[in-house]
Amino acid sequence: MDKKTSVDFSFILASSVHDMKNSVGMLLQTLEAISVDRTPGSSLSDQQLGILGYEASRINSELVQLLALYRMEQQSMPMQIDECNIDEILSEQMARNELMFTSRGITLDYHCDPELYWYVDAELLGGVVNNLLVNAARYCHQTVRLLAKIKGSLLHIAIADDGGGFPQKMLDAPIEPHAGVSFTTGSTNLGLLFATQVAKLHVNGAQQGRLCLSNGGELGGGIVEVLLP
Amino acid sequence: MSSSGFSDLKALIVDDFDSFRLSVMRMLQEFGFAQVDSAINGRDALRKCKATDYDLVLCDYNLSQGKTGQQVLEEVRLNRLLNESSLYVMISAESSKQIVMAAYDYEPDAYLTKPITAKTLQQRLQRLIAQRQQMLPIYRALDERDLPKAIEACRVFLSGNSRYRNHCQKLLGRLLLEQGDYIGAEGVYREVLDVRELDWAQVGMAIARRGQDDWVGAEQWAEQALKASPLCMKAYDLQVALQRDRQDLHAQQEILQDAVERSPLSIRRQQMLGEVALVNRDIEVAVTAFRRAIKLGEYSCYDDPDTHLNFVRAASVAAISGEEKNPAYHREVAKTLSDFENRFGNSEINKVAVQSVAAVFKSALGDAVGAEKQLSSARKIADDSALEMPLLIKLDWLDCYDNLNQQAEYKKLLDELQQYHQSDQSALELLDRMLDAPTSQQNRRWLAEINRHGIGCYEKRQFDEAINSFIKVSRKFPRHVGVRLNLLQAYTGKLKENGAADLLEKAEQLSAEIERDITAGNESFERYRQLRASLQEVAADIKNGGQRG
Repeated sequence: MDKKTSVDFSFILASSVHDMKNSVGMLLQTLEAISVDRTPGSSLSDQQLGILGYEASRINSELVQLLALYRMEQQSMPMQIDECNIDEILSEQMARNELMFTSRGITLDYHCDPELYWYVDAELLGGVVNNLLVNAARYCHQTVRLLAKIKGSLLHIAIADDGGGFPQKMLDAPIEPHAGVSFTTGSTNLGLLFATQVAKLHVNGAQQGRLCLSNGGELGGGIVEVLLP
Repeated sequence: MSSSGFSDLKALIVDDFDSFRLSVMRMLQEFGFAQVDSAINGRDALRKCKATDYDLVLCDYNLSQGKTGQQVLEEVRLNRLLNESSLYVMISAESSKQIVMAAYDYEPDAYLTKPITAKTLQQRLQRLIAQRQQMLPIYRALDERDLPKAIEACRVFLSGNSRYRNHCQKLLGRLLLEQGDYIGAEGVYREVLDVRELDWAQVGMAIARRGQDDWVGAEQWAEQALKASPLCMKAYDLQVALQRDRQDLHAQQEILQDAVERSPLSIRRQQMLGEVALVNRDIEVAVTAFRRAIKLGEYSCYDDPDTHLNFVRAASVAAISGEEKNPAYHREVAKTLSDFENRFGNSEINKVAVQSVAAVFKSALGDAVGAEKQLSSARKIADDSALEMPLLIKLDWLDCYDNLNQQAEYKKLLDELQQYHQSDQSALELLDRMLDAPTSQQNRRWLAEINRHGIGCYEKRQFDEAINSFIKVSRKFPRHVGVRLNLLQAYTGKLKENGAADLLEKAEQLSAEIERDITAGNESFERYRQLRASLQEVAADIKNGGQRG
């Protein structure tokens, strides 16, 4: 194949994703401004705003992940692992999604020691947690629990919900780039793929980060655990 | 949601989007900031920073006109327009990582990714300001430029248990390096590395080892940092510095080429690459790097007149070899020349410099009349001003005479310069390019080494590597007859093995060039005659269709 004339489609997609992401960012910004300025009797209800905000942030986080996965594949994704306060990273993602949780009447149950420190890439981990929260909000009935603690030599971050849990097929199969996309159920697993890739980039000596899916626990729904060395 | 922590603070928000700027301004006012100003571009932001001591600057990276957020940051920190304790927060719609990679000297205190909600902004600012307040004694000492006091304050701070420990260790390491206390810095970094391998501490160790002249140790630490984070640009910068210590220009160029490929937005790295490649006479690389550096310099406080002059110098060499015939390229050079005095002022030195490189470019294009006119004008201004002109400008004059084939003038000026700089090794290194054989110790040693390597390869019949070595040397010392003969011999060796037509063309061209420069009395003439005969024999074979078995 002649390299000069062939079009690198993944590059075009990535550039276009980049533009879309910026537009959705502006959209979200405007939405927040509208919801702050809202006066009684305005044409949009809280619930409608909630839906708009939720869908827009879903598109946004999906696009962010697409770009990140693209950069990881191009090996142009710099990692900046440093000692970080985990409570700060998690709180920021909760604050980011506050509108979504309150407008849908979801309780967010949070447990994390304010003095918990670990070695992570704060930006990438923030992206992972954001996406897992948005996902949990989608599948839960009314409660989502986010907790973080150290177990042995690993940082555990768990996001659990009281929904119907993951289908058995997802629990059985490891999350892989080529695992296939189910367009009928609307699940592309992109969020979980992104989370897995980010976890794997966290390495300490011989240990590597990973993702763990299960059902049950106290809330009875799906549980995603991010384990980082 | 007013919060007491912000009530005596002044903030500046910089963004070109009205709606974003207004919504963030309102957020900050609601948080209780005492003063909230806004700016729509970098120039406006810098003007306001000069007039007011802000505690917080929130700046968008992508300001559609003029400077980027990173360029504003560089100017703010370089010219100390903000206090050390003031926060500079970069806002961007993209991942901040690409911006981090372009950073050379200064990095923002924090990044925020759009979209920003009031709650996330408030949380983030509260944390940042709490950290600043806790570490205030350190920043105060830095504002007084009292390094020992700041270091002492760091140590006091670290003796307590704080959530900002990591932040303070990073700062302490940097300050100790700045002060030249390499052993102290190493202590800080070792403490960090004992717990976890973090790239910033590995780079810190590398700098500390380099400071103690342990180049091998420094290289190992830099390599470790790159192994853990292959895109750690600071580790690249350090590797370049180490090769500068070793005076290995080719190794520097290789690392810089790799670095700018990963992070093309750093003007400092592009400038350095251009300079190194120009000395190595790798003109294509030099032209590209200078071109990019000029573009990046448009709004940067790191823009440098030498980058512009060097671009024209590199472009002239490219024009001689006929590599650049595109008219757009000539317009680019013309624009660089015509913008020069506007940009950097019309001091006597600037006038002479810009006219000298203009003369070189004209002479390279074969415009003898224009070149002579420009050159004599430059020399007249230089004489009238009675200022001592930099050697680089005098080398431009030499290049001019050479391109115009004014051998008498060339010889006269060259002798004068050699005489004048006879005990200045770095000046002699610059002059070596003009001579039949280098006279500086550094270049003589380098030439001997690479030449020996090339001959070794030739003897082992590794012709490609031999050709590469001789090309490297002859590029840098184009008048050196011996090396060019070696190259011709290596070409012939390769052709005997595999008679490629394009290689034959190169060999014949080289042979013609040598023939032009060599006279019958030259001690190498007999060797040349034999090589030419040998080449003609191979050429005849190739042209008769068959390759030799």
